[in-house]
Formats: sequence, structure tokens, C-alpha cells
Amino acid sequence: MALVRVISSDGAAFLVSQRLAKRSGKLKTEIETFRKSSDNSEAQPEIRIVTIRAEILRLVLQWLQQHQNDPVLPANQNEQDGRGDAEMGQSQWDRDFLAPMDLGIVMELILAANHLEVKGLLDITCKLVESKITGRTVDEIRTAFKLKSDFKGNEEEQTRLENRWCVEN
Amino acid sequence: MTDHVKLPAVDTISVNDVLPNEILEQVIHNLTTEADICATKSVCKRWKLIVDTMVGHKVLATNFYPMVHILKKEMPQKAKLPSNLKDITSLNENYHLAIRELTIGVDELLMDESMTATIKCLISTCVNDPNITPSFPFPHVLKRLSCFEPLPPDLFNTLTPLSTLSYLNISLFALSSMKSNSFSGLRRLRCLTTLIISNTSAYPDFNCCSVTNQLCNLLTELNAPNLIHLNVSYPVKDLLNVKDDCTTALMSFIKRHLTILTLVVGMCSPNQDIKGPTKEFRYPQSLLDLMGDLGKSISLRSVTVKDNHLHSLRPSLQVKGWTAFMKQQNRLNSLQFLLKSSVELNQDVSAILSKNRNTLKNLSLSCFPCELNEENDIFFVPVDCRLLSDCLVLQNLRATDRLLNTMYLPNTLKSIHVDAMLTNEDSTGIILAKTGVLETIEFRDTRGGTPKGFGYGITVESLKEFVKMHSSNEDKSQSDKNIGRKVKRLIILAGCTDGKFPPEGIYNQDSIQPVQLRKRKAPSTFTQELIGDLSVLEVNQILNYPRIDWELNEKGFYEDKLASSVTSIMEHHSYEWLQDAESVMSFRE
Repeated sequence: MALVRVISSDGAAFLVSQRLAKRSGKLKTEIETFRKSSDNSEAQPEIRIVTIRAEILRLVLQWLQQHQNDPVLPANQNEQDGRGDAEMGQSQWDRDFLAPMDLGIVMELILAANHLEVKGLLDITCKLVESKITGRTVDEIRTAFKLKSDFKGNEEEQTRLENRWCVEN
Repeated sequence: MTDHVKLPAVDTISVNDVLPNEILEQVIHNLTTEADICATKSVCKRWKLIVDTMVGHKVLATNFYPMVHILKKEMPQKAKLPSNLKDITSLNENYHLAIRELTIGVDELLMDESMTATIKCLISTCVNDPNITPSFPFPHVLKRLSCFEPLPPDLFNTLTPLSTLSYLNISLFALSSMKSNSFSGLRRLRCLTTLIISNTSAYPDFNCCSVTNQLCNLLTELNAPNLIHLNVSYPVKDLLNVKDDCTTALMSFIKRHLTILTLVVGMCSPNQDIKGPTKEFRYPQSLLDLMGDLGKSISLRSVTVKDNHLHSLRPSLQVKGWTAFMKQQNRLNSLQFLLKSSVELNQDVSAILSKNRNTLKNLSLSCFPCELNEENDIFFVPVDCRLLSDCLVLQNLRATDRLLNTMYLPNTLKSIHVDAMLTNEDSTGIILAKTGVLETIEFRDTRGGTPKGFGYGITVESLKEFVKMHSSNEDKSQSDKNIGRKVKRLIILAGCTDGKFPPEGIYNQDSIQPVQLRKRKAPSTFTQELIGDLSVLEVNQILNYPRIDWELNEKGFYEDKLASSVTSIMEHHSYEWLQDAESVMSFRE
């Protein structure tokens, strides 16, 4: 079985099958680039991902392994089909996988999925963040995401006026 | 093979520190209600900017607003709404209801059949001055656009760039105000996957020639290289006038868009009655050949052809052309016909089914007779199941009227939806006997229009036969051996025609394989209250009737699953349906 060594930002190395790695658009590109530039066709590619630490990279690879037989989603699926597509394909395993994670880990996972071009993982993690917005008030959202209002003067009032249809309803 | 972007330390990060705009856009884009989107917009400047310029709002222009507002206020919080009202209230929850000019980015704009002035106000601050270009902020955010009202002629030319528009629905009525140069803004819609030219429900008094011309202009100008779904209703001026520009323009459009997988073609009539010479015209062979050639050049997965002439009972000649087109398809997954019956139609359908025998899974056949015959109480033409004998993978069948020769039903069927079933040689039991994997049978009686066109539904006798067939009776003949299997769901939309469903249920008297249809307590009596409210709100075209949905439970009993769910029909059917609904409701515990 052809393998690839994927190294995290903190130096941990993960040896994974190339078949699995190629389910990540980024890793697939890197493997193909390596093949083109390498004289030795048997050489094992080594890919260093300096933006992703080991804990997160392990989670991504774990997710990829669980979904290794899923059809690969097109990158522009949401553009074609509109809102709400992230719900598709979310299994009980996915929910159990995400359940113990705090928001910080989820955001890192989003960045990692985006960087490694893993569409399915990006969808379910975005969906999780979205669920922390749905049905909440503005203050609750700010608290959940540790954000502060930076509106000045009457800007917030202006926004509130724009939103008045929703508020009235 | 390295990257150069450093991630901040985990314990210090916040969403705004970490997530780039395109990720935040994706998160917010998944929100389905305007209330949630507005809440995100009020969080901070960056989120507001993303909502306004990248996500956009869903905006509805409608004159439904007063009714929606009252409905929201008056309805009990936990009451179940009928689906038609749910749609209206969900519009209220999911859309900005706009009454003034837009200053925000719009993700989805639904211009309902409302006051023209409102719509003009939305897209232009100075509607009375033709020299001022309508304003529409952030058109690059707009993804879904639906227009059902005459539009300002310059609308599409000012809505540029429509670089993310994926869904466009324009009614024929909306086209009536357009001009020949109105569509240049639609020349390159890279993201457009769905185009719908919809029929106008109310048949307002518009100029048919003008609409035809504008539709042709639209089809000529619009270019969407990634189009997948095309749904076009087009007016046919004269049934016997085969030289119609719309069909030609549509053919040319399809030829330029071979990415289309789903095609719906509907021929509709303008307001006036169709008149023409009585002698028969033949469809020109040259046009048939052209349609056939076009059919060869494209491989569709789903086709629907509808002949919606309200004012004529004769089939449109254009149907001949489209059947010639469809005869060239050989990978269809779904096929739907809503046509006037003719002698040739059966041959054409048979030929199409035969060519798609290895792929066709969904089939819906609704054929009107060319002449009403009230004496014989016929409004739709029964479907002869011999047509289906070739289909190897057919799973779902829908028919408007009775099925004839049910012994030819394919045994691959999983669901049958039939609008009428009588106790006769084509009874439920025979359907069950001839089908191996059937899971759902749905009887819906949505027919109307003739004095005797009501009340088919299903009789209690048919239900008894249905239950009886689920029996382990050892006397069964070899051919009946597979009758003992159980259908998972039996749905009856109109209740029993004779309204005599036994209060104790229907039992097959089989101790080994007991099967029973029984009713359960209706969770709510809201239906009656709702009808009262509706009359106050003057939307009395809508009426509701109960649906009986028996589902097989683990013990082998069919239980009424959705006793309180309701659906809607038009008012002119109301009297008969109301009686039926009451009779069914009264039998509930």
C-alpha cells in the first residue's frame, strides 16, 4: 500500500495511505506535485502542514478514515444548491465526533478542513458553528463567540432599524 | 512543500481572529431564518459587512403581509397549520418583508403576485422618473430571484453582475412588461442551474403576442453554461397554428444548453378561448424531424410534458413534437405526462417507456379525455397497465385515474399513487398480488370539474379486501402466495367515499397473521377552528380535509399515523369534500 507521511506544525508525523490522503484536495495536489518532481517513483512523499497542529491533524485524518468510502463532494456544491446543504451527509458518527469539542477546537478544525480542502468536514463544522447562532439573541451570540460590539454612534441603532421586520415579527 | 500561515495560540483565539470572511459567510449562509441572519448582522461591524455584501437577505415583496401578520397573531402557538398556510407563515419567518427601497444585499428576492408599485419601490427610489436607473445594491450576492409581477423593463440590465445567481423563476405575466432589449444582463449567468418560466396562475389579461415575443427574446439572450433544470411554460396562441416561435426558440435554447438534465415543458393557453378551423392539421414532418434530432443531441434524466390548455379539450399539436423529442431519450429516470388523450398517445408513451425500460424509475400519467362524457362520469382516462409491462426497474407509479389490466403492473413497484380506485376487477387486492416489493399505496381524489367527478376515493369494501389480502390463508393459489406480505403505508387523502369506516376498525380474522386497520384518537380538532379563522381572513378559497395515513406498526396493525394532517383543495370542490371530511372526522375516537 502506497503511504504518505503527513507532518503537523508541532512535528508529529502521521503515516497514512495515499488513497486516504487523496480525499483531501490539498494533500492530493501535494502528492501529485511530489510525484512529478521526484525521480524515484517508489519514494514516500512527505508533506509538512505548518498551519495545523497534531491534535487537529489527527482529528481530520480520523474523520477522513471514517468517511473514506463517501462520494467526494464537489467544492462548489453549495453555490449550486443553495442554503442548507451542510445538513446533508451528517451522520450520527459525525455528531458523536463533534460533540466533545469546544468552540476553539471546532474553529481550528474548520480552518484545517478549509486548508486541506475537505469539503464534508468543512460543512459539518460550519453547521456546528451555525447551530450556536440559531435562535440566539445578539448578546448571546457575542458571549458564545467572545465578541464585542464595535458599532459607533448610531450605527447599532441603524442596524436595528434595518432589522425591524424581524424584530416586529 | 510548506505553508507560511501561522495559527494563533488556541486559548486566545476568537471567531473574528481566526475565521476568514469566506468561512464566516458559509456559516451565516446556512442560517435559514431572517431573524437569525439579522441577529448575526447586529453582532459587530465585520459580521454586518459579511451579511450585507456576501450573504445577503431573503426579501419578499408581497401583498400577503396583512394576512400573514394576522395569522401570526391569531394562531395558537402550537397549532398545526395546513401546508398552504404554513408556506405563507414561513415566508413571514424566513424573509424580510420589504416595503421600501432596498439598501441591503439580497440573497433571495421573491416578488410575489403583489402590487406592482411595491415592487417598483423596491428596486428604484424614483419610480416615476424613467431617466433614473433603478437601484439594487450588491447584485453579486443575489442567488435566487423569483418574479411573478410585471417588472421594470431595465431590471435585468441594472442587476449586474449577477455572478452568483443560481435560480431564476419568471412568470409569463412578469415578462409582459419587458422589451426586446431587456435581457442583455442575462447573457452570462455562470452559476445559474435552474431556470423556470412559470405559468401565471390567475391568467391576467396580458397581451399574448407580447409575452410570446419577450419569452423568445429571453430564450435567445439568456446563456447559462451550467444549467441543469429547465422548466418552461409557454403560451400557444392557436392550437392549430404549428408555426409557433416559442417552440423554435426553446429548441434553440436547449441546443445551446446540453447540460440540462431535467426538462419540464408546459403548453398553456392565454386568456381567450382557443379558436381555429375545425379541420385537422398534420404536424409538419420537417418539424418532427428537427425535434427528433434535438432529442438525439441531449441526454435527459427527467422529462415532464404538460398540455395545460384550460379552454380547449383538443390536444396541442406541439405535443406531437415533444413526444418525437422524447422518443429519442434512452436514459430517463423520471417521466411525467399531463396530456389530453389521443389514439396516438398510447403508442408514443409505449415507445418512450420501451426505450427507457432499463432506467425509468418514476412514472406519472395523467390523461384527460378529449371530450367530456358526463353520462359515463369520466373525467380522466384510466391507465392501461399493459403500457408498463416493459419497464424493468419502475418503482413509483402515479396515475390520475383507475388502473386497467393491473396484472401487467411491474413487480418492481414500491409505491402506487392513484387518484381513484373502485371495487371492481382492478381492486387493491389485485395490485398487491402482482407486486413484489410494494411499500406504499396512496389514494387521492383530487379530481373535479364534472358534477359526478367527486367522491371516488376508496370504498370500505376495498379496504376490507386490502386487509383480507394480508392473510396467511392456506387455501391461496400459487399465484396468490405473495399476497401475504404487508404494505407499509396506506394513505387515503379523501377518506372513504361512503364515509362508513367501521368504528371498531377492519380485521382480517387471521390469528396467525393478524392485520387490522384501526383508527387512533385525533390529536387535535384544530381543523374546524382553522376553517372558522380562514373565513374571517377572507381566504376562503382554501379548505382543508383530513388525510388518513395508515402505517404498519410492529404488531401488524395499521394505525392512523397522521390523523390531523391536512392539505388543501380549491373552494369549488369544497362542499363535497367538507361532507366527506366531517364524516371521517366523526369516526375518530
